[in-house]
Amino acid sequence: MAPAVTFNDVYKEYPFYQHITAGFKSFLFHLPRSIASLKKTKFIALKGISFEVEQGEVFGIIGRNGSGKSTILGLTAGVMKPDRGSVKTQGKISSLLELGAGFHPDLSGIENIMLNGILSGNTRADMMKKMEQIIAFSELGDFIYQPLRTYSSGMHARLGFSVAVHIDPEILLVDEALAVGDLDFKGKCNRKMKEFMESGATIIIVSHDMPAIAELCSRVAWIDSGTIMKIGEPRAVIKEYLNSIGIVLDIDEEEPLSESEIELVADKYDTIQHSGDVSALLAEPLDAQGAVDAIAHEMISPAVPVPSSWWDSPIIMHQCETFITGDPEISFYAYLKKEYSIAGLQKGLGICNKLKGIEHNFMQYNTCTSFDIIDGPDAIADLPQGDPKFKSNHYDLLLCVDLLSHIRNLDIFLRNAKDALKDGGFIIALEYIGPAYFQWTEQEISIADMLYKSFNNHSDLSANTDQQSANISALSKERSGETAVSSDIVIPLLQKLFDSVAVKYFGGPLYDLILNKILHRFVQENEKDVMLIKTIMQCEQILIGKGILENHYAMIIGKKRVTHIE
Amino acid sequence: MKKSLEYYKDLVVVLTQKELKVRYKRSFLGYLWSIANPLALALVFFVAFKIFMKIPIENYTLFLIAGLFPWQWFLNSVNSSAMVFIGNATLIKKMHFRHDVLIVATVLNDMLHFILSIPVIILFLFIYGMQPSVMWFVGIPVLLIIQFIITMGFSLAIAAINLFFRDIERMVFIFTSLMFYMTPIIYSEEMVPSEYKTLILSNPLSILLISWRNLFMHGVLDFKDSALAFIYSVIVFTIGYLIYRRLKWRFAEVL
Repeated sequence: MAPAVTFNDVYKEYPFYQHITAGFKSFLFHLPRSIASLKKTKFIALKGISFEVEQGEVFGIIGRNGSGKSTILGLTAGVMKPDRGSVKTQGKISSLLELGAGFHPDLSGIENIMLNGILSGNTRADMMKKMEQIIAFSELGDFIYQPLRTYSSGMHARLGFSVAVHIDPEILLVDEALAVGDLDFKGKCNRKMKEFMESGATIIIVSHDMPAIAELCSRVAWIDSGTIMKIGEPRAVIKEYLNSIGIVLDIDEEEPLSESEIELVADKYDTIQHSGDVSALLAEPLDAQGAVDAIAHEMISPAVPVPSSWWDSPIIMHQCETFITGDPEISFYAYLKKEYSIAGLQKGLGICNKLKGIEHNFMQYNTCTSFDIIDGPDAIADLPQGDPKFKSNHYDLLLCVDLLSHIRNLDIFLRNAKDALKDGGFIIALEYIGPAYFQWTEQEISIADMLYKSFNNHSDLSANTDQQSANISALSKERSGETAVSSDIVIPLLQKLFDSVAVKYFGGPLYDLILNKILHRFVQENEKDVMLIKTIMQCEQILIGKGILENHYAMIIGKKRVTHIE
Repeated sequence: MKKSLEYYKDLVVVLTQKELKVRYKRSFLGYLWSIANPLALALVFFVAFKIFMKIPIENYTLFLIAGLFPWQWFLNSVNSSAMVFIGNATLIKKMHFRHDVLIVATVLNDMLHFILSIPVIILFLFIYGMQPSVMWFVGIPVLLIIQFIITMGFSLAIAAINLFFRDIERMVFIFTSLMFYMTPIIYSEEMVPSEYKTLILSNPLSILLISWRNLFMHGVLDFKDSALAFIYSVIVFTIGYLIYRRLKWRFAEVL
């Protein structure tokens, strides 16, 4: 199969046209100089670039501004011609260079769909067939009959994206410009992109969003000053690129919390609890390095494995443990042993949406000697819903993390789980118990903003909205998509089936929100970040205590009754 | 990538529709405006030349209209062509399609308006006790094609050059005004002194407009004139298209 895109020694330069576009007058008055400068002053955008993009590949292009990334896309799209060398493409190209590039404000949504579709190389008959699909995907409702000038920018972007992805491109060109649109729609776009990738379409992405590039792409090219510096496996290329701009990464380093830090937090926690005043804490002076740090973190974070959820971070885990155990000195596992005599067990079963190696801790702390694992959204989806086939009477401990909210028939699942446990076995569930279809309220977002600002005095959240909104949206989506267990269902259910149920609440919407806003730039070793997270969690506890917020997470422990042999 | 004929047909149709819709989206009187302008001009010229200066031409109103309406088509297309590529900058920079189609749509759009104004000419024919001729069924399509080609030539060149020298836009206004008076529209070619006749007839539009007027007023289509007008139009189109083709790859860079 021929490659989808072939660049062969492509050379592209731009003369500086200002001399002439400025007008005849200046051109004529300085005629000799103008001509000379036309010949001499050229901006060389690409200096003999060669690469191939195979069909079905997701190819990323990274590099500084002005390095030639957009020129490559322009050449691929065919809006420009190389000065030397050749650019060959195979298949229909749809460019998301700019959403709704061909839209006219005075035309209605439908008319614009037709116009844009035709300009992208479709016939009218083709577009008529797809029209319904496009309108449905855009979710514009009756607005589709209104002229585009009445649209919000989000609606505009929705329509643009709908058209671009429904014209069945074989090659999709995506520029950063894509990162627009409202949050809900963003998730839909991401799913559609994934669908595309699975359908074997070729995608070329230009972006500064390193996490996205690392996640989506199969290969990445780093362009600098019009030449390819490196091409290959995404993480390696990204790392080298970041190194080149002065960011050195230590990917695997995670410093544990020092004793003094824990003490400091404990002190502060006391202060707040006594005064009851959150703002006292927020008024803490911050070091001037703040702004610089924040920016640096933004740059560094991409290649660090990005924590995507609250239990990815040891510090947050530690905070959660502290909330559960009530004492920073006592580990979660020690607490289990002390309070519930959960220790020295044999066989554990971990079922989880994202286990992240928590089971190792259970083994390390001698809670269990071995673990069977069912992990990941796919594995859970593979569980026969409501009827899991576990080995009966086999396990001493059943560990569920972020699981119950994904189970459709909770009653049957828990009965099966109970059956899988030996007599006297334990179930430990660390679960989201917030409301189903949860969305953050304005109030919560504004509190999060306030906290964030006070710790990063330079910026407000909008400075980095793309990534943040993507994160929030992803989380929002994740939450709203699930039929979340609510505490008034799951806890009585457990109480019915198990003995001695203990419920410990920890963590509410606020820290979930703010962590999802800043987690991607969060660096474990940075003291300020650590403090920020701790403070947020403490503030939240106070707010929860005052009834302003509600807990969204809980640890629920149940013990299987000993069945009496009759 | 080769595209089917059907695709280009659709492209032209949709772009022309767009031009039409955009032009009339927020106006109530719509198409009337496109007639109002040449009619107002005709009134001014009638007062100035017929009533004040007593120009010796019979049926002068009809005479004016028969020339002004086709001229208006040419004028509108050429004037708006200067801004066509600039106005569609986002399209040109981001999407890959034949850019000359934008010009085709503009010229077709103005042609459509011209065709729709023919009933007004017929109305004036009746007022002056005359009638449309059968010859129109042959003559109108022939002259439409000739004028379409020549207008395309001018428009392509102006649209392309204007991207690089924005002054062209201003110059076009002067150029078309001069051209208007160098074309026998408000006067007849017989009135031109013989020493200037070559000058006037060397204007590529002159023969075309004379042909239009002869067709509308007398129902006559002169084969020799038409052939000459056609040759002119092909020459202008070739030059215009060559200029456009030379520059088109730079469009995305200068916009």
